[in-house]
Amino acid sequence: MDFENESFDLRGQICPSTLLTALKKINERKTQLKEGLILEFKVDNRDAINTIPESATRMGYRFDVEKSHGFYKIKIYK
Amino acid sequence: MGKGTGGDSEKLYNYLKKKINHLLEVLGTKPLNPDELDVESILTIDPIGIIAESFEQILEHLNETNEELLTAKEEISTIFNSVGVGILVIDKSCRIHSFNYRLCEMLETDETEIYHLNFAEIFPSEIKENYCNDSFYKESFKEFHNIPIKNKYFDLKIVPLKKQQEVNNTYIISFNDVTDKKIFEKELERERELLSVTLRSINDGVIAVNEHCQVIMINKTAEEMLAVSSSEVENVMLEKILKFSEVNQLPLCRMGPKKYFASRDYDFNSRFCLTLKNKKGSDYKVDVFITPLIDRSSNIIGGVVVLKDITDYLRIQEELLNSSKMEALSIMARGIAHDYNNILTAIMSNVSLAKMKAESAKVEKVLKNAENAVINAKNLTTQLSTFAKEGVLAKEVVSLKDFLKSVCDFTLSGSSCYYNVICAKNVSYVEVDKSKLSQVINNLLVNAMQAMPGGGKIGINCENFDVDEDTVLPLQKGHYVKISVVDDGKGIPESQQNKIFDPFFTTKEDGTGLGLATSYSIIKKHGGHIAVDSTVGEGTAFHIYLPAKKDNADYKTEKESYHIQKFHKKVLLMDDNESVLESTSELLRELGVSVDAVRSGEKAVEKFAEAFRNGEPYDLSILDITMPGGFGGKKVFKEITKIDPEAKCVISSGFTSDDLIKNYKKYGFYSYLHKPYALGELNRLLMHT
Repeated sequence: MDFENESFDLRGQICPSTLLTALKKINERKTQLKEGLILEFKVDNRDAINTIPESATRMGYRFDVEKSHGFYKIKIYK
Repeated sequence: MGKGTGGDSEKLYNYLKKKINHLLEVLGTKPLNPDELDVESILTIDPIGIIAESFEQILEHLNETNEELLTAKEEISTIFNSVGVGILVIDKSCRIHSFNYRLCEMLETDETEIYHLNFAEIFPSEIKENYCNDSFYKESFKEFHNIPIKNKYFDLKIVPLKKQQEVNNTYIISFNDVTDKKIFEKELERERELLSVTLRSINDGVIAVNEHCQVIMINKTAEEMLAVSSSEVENVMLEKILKFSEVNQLPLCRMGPKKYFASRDYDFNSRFCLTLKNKKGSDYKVDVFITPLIDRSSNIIGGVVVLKDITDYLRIQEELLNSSKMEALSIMARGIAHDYNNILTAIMSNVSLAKMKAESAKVEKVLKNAENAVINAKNLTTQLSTFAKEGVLAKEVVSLKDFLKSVCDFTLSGSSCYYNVICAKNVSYVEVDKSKLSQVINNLLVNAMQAMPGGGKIGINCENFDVDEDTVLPLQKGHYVKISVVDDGKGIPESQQNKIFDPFFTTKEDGTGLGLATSYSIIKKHGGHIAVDSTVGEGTAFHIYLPAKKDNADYKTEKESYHIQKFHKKVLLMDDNESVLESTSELLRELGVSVDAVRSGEKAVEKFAEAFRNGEPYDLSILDITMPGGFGGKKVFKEITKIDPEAKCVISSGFTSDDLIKNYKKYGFYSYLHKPYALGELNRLLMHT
């Protein structure tokens, strides 16, 4: 199924709210994720590049982290 | 909920704050900031809700993973038991953790028994030492080959089991049964050995080449034929090791095996005759047979070249051709000898007669010379008839001294060699076929002459020789006469001495290789032996051993018995040749004999019957073997003995080789006469009748 991949800008937020926001988005879209949706989070605090992929992995998702200009893009998908 | 609205609320709020931070810690993140910890913020952010939902997903994922693990475990267990190799999981102290069914099959044991097997004893110590060694863990695995376990052979692979990089003291040993492979290898080895022994023992050269015509195998004979060693010709092009006069003669070299065997040029029976060069650089001829090397899928992967040295074969072919020429010559010689003998008989008889009637000593001497010339001519005829047929032996008692002298005279006349016959006193008589023995002596004399091209002395020694039981000579115990022919020529190399009596062995450019071989067989036929004793540069001695005639006294030579007498006897003489009849009749009459001469078999029988009827039978009948119309001596004899079984008949012929002559007694004849008849011979015959 084709989805419009969603992107969320979490820059300026710090932990734990970055993680909680990301988890909330993942939880809300768990059905779509199962069907192939890819979520993208833009983050700029270093803790989040560890905590978000770690939690997502435990929940059974895969991830990519890509460094951009002054921030990171974390992609979460099934 | 407001701040500080009561003790319980305060407690609850603090409790929630603590638990929210605990949950965040479990997730691996930081606690909430103080500004996020007011009730409003907590309710807005809803951390508990978010975390709870996340945990739900985590749990869901864990369940899925567990299920996958269970499935994987099932799969692994199935694989574990269904793979072709035996697997054993064992620890350092040889305690068995697990194993698969295949291992039970391989070790021919069952599940319960396997635990009782003492693997520490089964495995060779080197293996235990190896896998119990701590340093083993640094390696990922170890392999052992052809390990004997329970009458089988195994390849073992030992892998240490590691969990998260930590030493666990557990090993996985996989067993691969290689018994069949091992047996197969042994068989292959044996087959290779057999093949190589077979190839080695083949008397023909065998060379195998690959598809590029490079040598992959060469046997011992081929190595010798081509003067190469197998190590230096491996992978060398075939054409390079065959020193062909013309390399391109062999299409296999020109085209390569693939093209050649597929081409029309190739035929299973095709054979090439090539000229190769040997070590010394001289040419020799070989027959070349070529067969393709084919793999299982019928691809041509090379060829086998068999080289057969045909030098000997060609020489034998040539000898055969020569011998058929000889055969033709001998038929001619036989014919000449027969007629020539008849003429000689007439001359001899007349000369003998003339000599008897000679009135002056001068004339007698001239006639004596003429008689000697006839005797020489007779010898020549004997030689001719010897050449005509080797045949059977016509043995007679011979005094060697005169005999040897006459052969030497005959052979060495006109040569640059001189001879000296030394006969010990009382040398025994021998009973030999004179023509055959003269052939032998003649051969030895010719050899001696050729060994001394510049001339020289040939010594002929003759002595009695006793052979006892301890002799090294291949002779039976008894008395022999030893004749030695000694020259001081170039000598025979020791390496050739045992070959010189072989047929076709010759060192002479134009030799037939038959001379000494014939001599050998003649001496053997006489129950004797011939041996050589030679030193290079000093000379050669041939020794002939002939059985001695036991009693010397009984045998007198021709000369001794030559006393002309008058016999009052009646003789029937049959011969188809007019001049023989006439001269012989005259000779007999001179001896006082009354002769009836007849020219046919029928006449002979008629005369004999008539005389018998009249009570005046013949004392002797001399019958020629060969008569026109087939009514020869043998048939006449049959008819005569029908009339008088006691009749004394003498068979006569120009050939000593006739079976009838040799075995005259067996046929019932009283004696035999060899044409031309000498007076002495007739004299002796009549004396004993």
